[in-house]
This record gives sequence, structure tokens and C-alpha cells, in this order.
Amino acid sequence: MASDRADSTTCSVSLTLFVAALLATLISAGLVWTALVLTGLGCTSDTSHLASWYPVCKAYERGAYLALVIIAFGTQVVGAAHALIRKRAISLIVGLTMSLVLLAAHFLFVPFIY
Amino acid sequence: MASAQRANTAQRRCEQQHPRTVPQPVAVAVFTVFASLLFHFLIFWSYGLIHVGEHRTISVVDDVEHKLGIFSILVLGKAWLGDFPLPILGIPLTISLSGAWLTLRELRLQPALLGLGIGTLSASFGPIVVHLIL
Repeated sequence: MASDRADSTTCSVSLTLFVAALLATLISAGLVWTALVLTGLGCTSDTSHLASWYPVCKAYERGAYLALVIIAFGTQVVGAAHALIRKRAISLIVGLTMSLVLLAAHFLFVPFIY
Repeated sequence: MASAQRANTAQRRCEQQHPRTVPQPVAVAVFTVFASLLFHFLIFWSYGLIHVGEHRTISVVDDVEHKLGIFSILVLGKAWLGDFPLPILGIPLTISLSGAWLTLRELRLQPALLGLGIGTLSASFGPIVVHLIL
């Protein structure tokens, strides 16, 4: 029993999957960070002529940035961790795809939600 | 002692079967530290972009930030010094690192994963809670 557990916990993850998990996480973080910076740039530049954009910027100032980070990047981290635990690359692909979809959906729906 | 020997034997067997592999606890521990650092960086940025009702004016930082624009790393410094008590982020980071260290020591995956989860949640909501309390 103990040796089974030792087998299952110490037996290795393929190097490709490990590197892919790190790379996918880095890419996801880069995309989320770019989204943060671009939204911040859009909201700090002069948008006084865009009245409809103002509530969105107010929403971001009140914490929508944090929601974006937790939802989009959190999905990727959970997917990559699941891939490393179960040793399945499909979890990594699903996690990264879900993260990108949530990132896009966040920007599409934010003007309607807030 | 006996469990450590069994783990070492299992590890050697795995390495013989799959030469281009990484031990799972090492992979999970490295990944959790990596993800935790990225999470902290993003949380730091998202707090840096939040404006609360009354800004604390930090004239030197504001002047340089206006010259360099939004890309300035000083956005982070301003968040650190100004709106939120962000030095508290050191505590969640310590939780994540401790979890990874326990995983490497005991060859179990749970501490690193728990450390990542608890560290990230407390980094996300800790500053808000502290801000509401203070």
C-alpha cells in the first residue's frame, strides 16, 4: 500500500508536459497582464468623449481587474496543476483554452455587466 | 526511514523506465512556486490599477509616473506605498513557498497545492479585508 503510494507520487511527469505547463502558464499570465495594461491605458487616456466607456472604467477601478486576474489566470493554473497531477496533457489544453475564452468573454461582457 | 527508502527505490525505477522525466513532487512544487509568483505579480498589478476614494498623494512617485506613463513599474510602487497595505502579500507568498518545501521534503503533492490555493486566495482578498478593517 505504502509502496503503491510512493510509486504514484514519485513516479515521474514527462519533461515535455512539465515544460508545456510552465510555458502555458507564462503565456496565460502574459496575456492577462497585457489585457490589464491595455485596459488601464484605455481608461487613463482621455475618454471623456466616450460617455458609454466611463462606467466600464469605473468598474475596473473598483475591482474588475482583480476579477479578471482571478478568473482567467486561475483557470489556467487549475488546468495546469490538474495536468501535472493526473499526467494528462488534455487538462493543460482545456485549461489554456478556457482561460483564453474567459479572457475574451470578460471583455465582451464587461460593458453589459457593470 | 523505510518510506524514504521505498520512495527512492520507486524513483530509481521510474527514472530507469522514463529517462526524460521529472519526479512528480518536484514538478508540482516548481510549478506551484512559478504560478504563485506570477499570480502575485498579476494581483499586485490589479491592485495598483484600482483607485479608492481618497488617494494618498505621493508627489515624487506621481511625477515620475506621469512622465513614464502607465507602463512604469512605479505603478506597483505606488500601490505598495499608497492605497492598499500590500506588504501583506509577503505572508501568502510564504505560505506558497512553505507548501512547496513540504512537498519536496515529504514527497506528497497536497502541501504545495494547498499552499498555492490558500496563498492565492489570501493574496487576492487579504488586502481588501485589511483595508475594510483599518
